Amino acid sequence: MTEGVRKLNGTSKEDEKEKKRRWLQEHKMLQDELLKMKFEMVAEGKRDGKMEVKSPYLESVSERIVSGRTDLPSVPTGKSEGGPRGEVPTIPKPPGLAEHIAKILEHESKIKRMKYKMMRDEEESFKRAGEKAPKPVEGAAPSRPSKEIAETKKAALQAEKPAPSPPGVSPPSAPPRPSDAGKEAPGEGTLLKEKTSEKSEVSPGVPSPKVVSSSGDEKKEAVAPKKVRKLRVIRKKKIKRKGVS
Amino acid sequence: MFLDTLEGLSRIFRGDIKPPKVILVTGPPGSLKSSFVYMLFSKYLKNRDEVGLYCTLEESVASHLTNMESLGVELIYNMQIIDFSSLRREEEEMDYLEFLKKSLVRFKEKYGEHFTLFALDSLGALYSIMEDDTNLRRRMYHFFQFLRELNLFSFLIMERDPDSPSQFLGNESYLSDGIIYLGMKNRKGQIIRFIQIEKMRTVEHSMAPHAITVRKGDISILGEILD
Repeated sequence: MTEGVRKLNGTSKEDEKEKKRRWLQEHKMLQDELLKMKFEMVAEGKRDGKMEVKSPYLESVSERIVSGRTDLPSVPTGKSEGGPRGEVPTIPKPPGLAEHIAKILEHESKIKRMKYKMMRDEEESFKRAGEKAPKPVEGAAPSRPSKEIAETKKAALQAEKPAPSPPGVSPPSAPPRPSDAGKEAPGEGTLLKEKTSEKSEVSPGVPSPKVVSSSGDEKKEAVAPKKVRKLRVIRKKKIKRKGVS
Repeated sequence: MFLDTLEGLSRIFRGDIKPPKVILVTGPPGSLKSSFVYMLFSKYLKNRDEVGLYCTLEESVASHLTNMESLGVELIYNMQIIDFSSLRREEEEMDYLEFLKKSLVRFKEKYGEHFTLFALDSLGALYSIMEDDTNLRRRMYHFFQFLRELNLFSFLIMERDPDSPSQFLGNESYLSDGIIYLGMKNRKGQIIRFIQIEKMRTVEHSMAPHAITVRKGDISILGEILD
């Protein structure tokens, strides 16, 4: 080993040029060795399914270093690619390398196909599971989007409105109620007022007879429970009595 | 071990540094970090039966040698230079830390105990090409341990802004055995280069900044800079 190191340094007989040539040769060998090692590492990673295979043998380092200068190694620019090269020996490609790469790629595509198939199966199973899925539990968040709910409400309100009269024919006017005098035409506002007046009939603390459906989009007047009906009757009687007194 | 390399090193160190050591060489751009390490290696290996390895990650070998030549530093034949920049390919997934470790093992196998010096130029560049930077502190800890197991003097070059802490992603300052700071000071309109040893395990040393001068092919350490 000591001899090897001495070789690197050169003996007193050797001239400077020879030492530099030897150093440069050593450098090239080392770079080529590293390149080979790198390829091995990439190939190993590929086998593990971690890395992409890129062929580092597209251009070896020794090809890239032009030995035009004997004193110092120099790396050529991109222009030198494909052009005349220096008399630098290149590392021959290991036998069966292309075959090896092809095998790796084939194996990779096989794994990809398997993965794709697995994904498809999973998707289908999810779909099937979705069809059989149980209906949402009552009290859960409304499943329909708010836009749809708003549209349903609007349609319901429009249904309460009188149908538009054909052109040229005046609408059949309903006899105006005395309470409606000075009020706007029946619309949403009126309806709301009516609703609130209805609500005011119920005494505080008594549950509202209006029931919200599980979907939460429609409000229907349900039949008031017995207790409420009783309370209403009592209240009416009280009012009557108050009016008398 | 290094006291006979650069003139004036004995002004800073009271004893010699013994291997293995992982030493960070930090400093702002233009503070001669690469030149300092290369000169140190060159002087150390000149009359020794040992081998050094200088690994450059961003600069090509040709460019690096041209720079050294301009500074008057001789090419030392028992120091090899490996150039990762020529091995790198874009859009390629590769664990360069592992690759570096394998390269060092290969070099150790080749030269055995004669392989004593290693320089990495630079640690920041290594981080920039590392695809996976998870658990970096743990990985760096293992890397530093690995370098020690190879019984090497390892000099890891790291860029660092003035007055900023000497740590990047992997908390290197805590993990390393030594920190050499190369800086520049403006005194009366004149830029003075200096060296400061912030940390060096097992060796008694001065913490004060010492002025350095760069002559053709040589760096000398002068006296302490007094404010």
